[in-house]
Amino acid sequence: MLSHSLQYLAFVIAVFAAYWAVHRHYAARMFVLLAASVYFYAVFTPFPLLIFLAGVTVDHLLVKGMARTDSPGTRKLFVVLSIVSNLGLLAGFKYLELLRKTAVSLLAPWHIDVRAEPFHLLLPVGLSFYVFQAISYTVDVYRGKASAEHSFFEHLLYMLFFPRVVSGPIVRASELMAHFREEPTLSPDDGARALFRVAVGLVKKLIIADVLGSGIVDPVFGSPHAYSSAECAVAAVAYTLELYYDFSGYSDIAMGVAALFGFRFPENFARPYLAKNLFEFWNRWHMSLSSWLRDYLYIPLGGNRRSKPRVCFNLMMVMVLGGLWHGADWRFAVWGGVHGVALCAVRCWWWFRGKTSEPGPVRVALGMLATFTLVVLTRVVFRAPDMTHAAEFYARMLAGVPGLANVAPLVWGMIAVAVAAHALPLKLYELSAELFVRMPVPVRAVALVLLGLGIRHLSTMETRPYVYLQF
Amino acid sequence: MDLKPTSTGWTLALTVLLALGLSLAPLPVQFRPIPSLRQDEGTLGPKLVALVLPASLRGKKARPPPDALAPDSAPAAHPESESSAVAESAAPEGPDAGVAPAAVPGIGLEDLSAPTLASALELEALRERMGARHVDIELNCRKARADGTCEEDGLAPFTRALGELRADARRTPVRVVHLGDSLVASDYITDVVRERLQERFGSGGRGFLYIHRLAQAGRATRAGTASTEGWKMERLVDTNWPKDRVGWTGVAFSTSGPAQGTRYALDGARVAELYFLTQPANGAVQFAVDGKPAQRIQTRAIASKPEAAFARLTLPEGAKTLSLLASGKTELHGVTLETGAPGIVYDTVGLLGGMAEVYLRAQPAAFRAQLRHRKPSLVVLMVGGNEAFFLSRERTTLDEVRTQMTALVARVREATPEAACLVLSPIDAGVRTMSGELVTRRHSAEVGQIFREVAREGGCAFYDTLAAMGGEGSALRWLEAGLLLEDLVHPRVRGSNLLGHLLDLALQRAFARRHAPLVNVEDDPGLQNADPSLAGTFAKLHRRESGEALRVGIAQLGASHTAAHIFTDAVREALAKRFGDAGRGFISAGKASPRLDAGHVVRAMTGPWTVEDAKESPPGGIWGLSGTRAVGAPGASLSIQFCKDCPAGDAPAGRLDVYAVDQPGAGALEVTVDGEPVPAEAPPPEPLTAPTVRIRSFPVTGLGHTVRVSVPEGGGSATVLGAALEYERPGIVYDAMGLPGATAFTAKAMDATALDTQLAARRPDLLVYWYGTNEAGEEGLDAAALHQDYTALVSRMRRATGAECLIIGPTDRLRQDATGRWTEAPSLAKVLATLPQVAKDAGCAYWSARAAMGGERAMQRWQRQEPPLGLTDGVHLTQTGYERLAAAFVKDLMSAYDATNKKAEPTARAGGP
Repeated sequence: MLSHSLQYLAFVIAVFAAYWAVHRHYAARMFVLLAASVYFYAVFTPFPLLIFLAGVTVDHLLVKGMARTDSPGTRKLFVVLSIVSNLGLLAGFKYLELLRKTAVSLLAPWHIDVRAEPFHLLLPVGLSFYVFQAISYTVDVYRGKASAEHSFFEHLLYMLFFPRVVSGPIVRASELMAHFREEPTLSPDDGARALFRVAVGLVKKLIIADVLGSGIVDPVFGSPHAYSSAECAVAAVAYTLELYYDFSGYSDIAMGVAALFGFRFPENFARPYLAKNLFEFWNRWHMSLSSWLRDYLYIPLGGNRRSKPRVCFNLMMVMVLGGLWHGADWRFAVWGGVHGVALCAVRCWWWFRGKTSEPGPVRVALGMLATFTLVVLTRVVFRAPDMTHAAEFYARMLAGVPGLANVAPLVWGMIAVAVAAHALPLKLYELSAELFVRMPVPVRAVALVLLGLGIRHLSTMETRPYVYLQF
Repeated sequence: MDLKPTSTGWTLALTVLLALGLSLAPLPVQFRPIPSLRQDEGTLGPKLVALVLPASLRGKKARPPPDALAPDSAPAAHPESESSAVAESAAPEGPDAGVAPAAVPGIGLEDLSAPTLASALELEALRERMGARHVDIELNCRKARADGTCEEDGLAPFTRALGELRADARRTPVRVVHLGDSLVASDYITDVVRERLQERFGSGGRGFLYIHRLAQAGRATRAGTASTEGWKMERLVDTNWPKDRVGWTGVAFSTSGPAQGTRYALDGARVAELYFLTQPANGAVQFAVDGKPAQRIQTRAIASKPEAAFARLTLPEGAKTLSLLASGKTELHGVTLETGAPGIVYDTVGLLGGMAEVYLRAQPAAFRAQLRHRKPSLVVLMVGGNEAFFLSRERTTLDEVRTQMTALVARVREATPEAACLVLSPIDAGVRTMSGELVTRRHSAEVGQIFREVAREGGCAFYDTLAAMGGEGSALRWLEAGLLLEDLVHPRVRGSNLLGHLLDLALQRAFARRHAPLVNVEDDPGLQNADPSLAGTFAKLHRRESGEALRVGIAQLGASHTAAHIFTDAVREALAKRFGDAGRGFISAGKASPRLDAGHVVRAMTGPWTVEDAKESPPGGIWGLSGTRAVGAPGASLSIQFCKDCPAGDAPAGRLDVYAVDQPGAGALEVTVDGEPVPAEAPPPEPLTAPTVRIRSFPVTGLGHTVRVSVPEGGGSATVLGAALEYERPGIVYDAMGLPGATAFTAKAMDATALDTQLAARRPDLLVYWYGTNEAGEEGLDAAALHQDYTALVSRMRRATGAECLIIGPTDRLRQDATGRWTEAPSLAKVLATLPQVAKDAGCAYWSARAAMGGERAMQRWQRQEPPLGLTDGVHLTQTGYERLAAAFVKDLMSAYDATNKKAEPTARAGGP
């Protein structure tokens, strides 16, 4: 039940009705949200719920333990136990197979036998997001930034809250759990804005991302040798756009749905392809992950306050691990590593040449172009099923074979829409939202139905899962 | 409810109500937000539940069963009853239709060449793994008799034309026009069918080619190479398609400014034909062959409106390229290239997004004119995938699909009433649902069923590609196995090859069912009657293979196939590799011959020698094992060198035998072995009244030896028959004793005592006879006499040697008449019928060389192979041909040997302690 499906919309409407019918009663509204969240996840696959239940239980006990002791050593032990247990979940379910395969290939020359059969472990949907959010809570409690006084069910709901459970965003306790006990409110304007946000997310996902994905990305990445170099380049750009519209569309739906229940999630994207350098890009892309990596990995490693080589090491470490977070495949580490190297290069440039506080328009344009180009080129590794395939794609892209005959007009049109929508001033978006908010309720309903009709006609039949669902 | 969220709640409620209301209202489908809620199809409740509840809660499996998806498991079983039901429901002709059992003879693989057969067998293995099936073409009926029975099935014109090609009774090509969608555009499926048809029936040329490739990237197929970039291309699939101009070729290439060119590689083509449009504007096309200007045609219309037109150009022999330069306002549709010789020409037109409706956009007059002009024997329609897609998007209806396909079939039948037509169902495909699950695309089966009905009603044959692929759900299995692209619609190359393989075999089976054999004799492939005829030989080979130090002797007698030594060299090498090499065996005395070079044997003669052969002499007389003898006058000498250039080092002990004739008044022979004179042998016992065979034996050491035999001066003439070399080590000795032009009658007429004495001296365990090809060429062969003499010959030799026997049947012998037409050799049928009987009566195994070549008209196919396997005399094979036939012989012989061993094993074990 993906969040762009009709089932999900029906589910949200049902939960919305039940929630606001009982919202004045803490226990009832908690029950509605928790039951809905468990149902939502169980529809995907119920088994991981037991894992999450066990994980939350362990974390909850450790958090309570931290709250009851003043000993810094014990608190540290508890937070370390929490981090280890959560990372253990991630390592076990996500990376064990990668480690096995790597050990097999590395130890083979020494004739050391490693288990040859795959583990066949099921990767629970949303595990990566779960683990990072779980760690953020226990560390925040340890740091004194989050309360340890939440109940077990609040803790469980915080981890399983259905609008975000499968693909984030990673929400801090202060942004969600802290509001569970407050009586929720939803003004007509906020409700309309939430619906508008959901609608925008559906358009982003179902029209722009899916048309680009099925129109050019899938076929070209599937058999790059059958396409010209120019078409491969267009497919790489199209994938870059697809990924943004796919994930930001999902995030918009998640934020819009959360807002329907009176919760405000932090923004996850800020028009990342307009970034003038790679640091700015990472500050605009998947911001909930970037800020997590900054707060819970980069800064604990020393951040910028260490020696220059150490700063570069920290950057590399964060990017490689951040890359690996996306999937149990060394190509993600390569992808993160390349970004790490590029970030180090930018950092070195700033150290040696100084950072321009107000660059001119040419410099801005060049910076945007260079950043976008690097992002597009590295996306190939991100999208390809393996490094060999990525190498084939690069080779084909650089082969100089001309021709764009296989890029359909609809794809060209959608690329243009994607670029325009990304570059248009935010004010236009806000104006549109305001227009929607000011509409009378019946007109708003007509607008939503018309939008649904438009999506039906413009979207592809082969509706695709969210890219980030696999992470 | 709190007032604040009420506004949002009302918005949601009104939105839902409006969406439901519009979906249920009698509006055109494009105005319905949820079209699946239509009132006219079932009740609303279940549809709403299906809409709201996830598939996993409705108890529906979105993916195929795990056993079909598990990478290591076998594909899902497909009960025979299911496939039979499909065939029965649509096949009025009963036994003709249905599913051919897998991996049994008769699936259509019989007459493929060895390399093609190898790839076909790989595809067969893939088919097994994927659960794909051999589905026969539903022939239907194109012409009924007055009493309602079928006079001519839907493929009859095509199978009849193939029969004419097979019988070499046709002087024009058999053309197939295959129209379709993107599955055809890549040309992989059609390539397999084209290549195999051309291999079986000969190639008539490349066929229809576009002016330029339709896509800049991807596989360059079925098009010329544009030398300029100014061609304007308009396709029937485009939004603004070329109205009222294009026919079945589907694409217009036009010029209006600077001259535009294109170029074609001719690949042996002798006739080119330009398909173009005449129009009321000045335009011209200049042909150039190998860069030299040839014909120039004006494309200006005489009529007031544009019309499809054609310009033919005969190409000189050996021409390499054809160039076209179009100037002024022209519109070209394509070029056909043909060899002008009978054979298959397989045109493919595949348009991305092609469907029946797209081909109906073609101008009817141009469609008819172009198709009639092409004179196809078969038109294949392979659309439906896009129809199923549009159905799933509710952009079309089943009624529209039926109407459009019916119209297309009618248009094809009307344009070429004398051609067969074949309708293919769409293949299975998958989609990702809104919840991200991979499921089978709906409507492929429905469209297939409509096509089946339309084909039946339109008098076309029908092929259920969906069933052949493995039925609904197979696309997901193909995706898992990497046979389908990630778009879930288009097969990858291997998947396409498999589809082409299945279609080709279905066509082949349809042809076989309707084709009367040119030689009406059962001619089964493989080694017949090996058990028990070869039991002793196989037992001895097995003991040899088990380590016993044994010599296994095989002697092959025959005609030119044997005398060429290529076949026997290849068989000897293969057997020696497995069982050991015990020497070269017998070499007849004769002149130097390059045929012996490969076996490292050199013969030389000096002085006055006469080499006589049995077939040109009166019956009787002493002849060597090959049916020849060398008669030397005083002073003459000959030598036979074995194992020339063999590496030194290995020095096995051995025996060198010299076969000669003692006769009254003959001079005593002087023999040297490796240059050393050997002592003169005692003279023959007196009185010597009649010639007798004398075999002298000399011990030797080492691999290579030369024996020289001289007729001393001052005496009479002497006769030498041959020499043989064997090593005293375990292994095979394979004698080749062939006389070009000989028949079984020739061998029978030779002096029996002398021949049997020599043969017994060769100590064969197995006698292989390969006579029959020359008998097949005899007018009025007396089959009874052949049977009698051949049986007597074999029986006699078996008695003399105690050996087992194996008879090889003739190769496919053809002859060419004055008009150039090939027909079977006059007595081929008699020989093919007689020899198995001889083998049976004499207790021999039988192996048909003709069947191993591929049966009916295999010689023509072997002649067409590249490199050629058959010589142009229609009798003999090339070196590669003999080697390939030898490989087939060894394979069948060893298969029988292995099967015998396998059968014997349990008994042996049971009898052990």
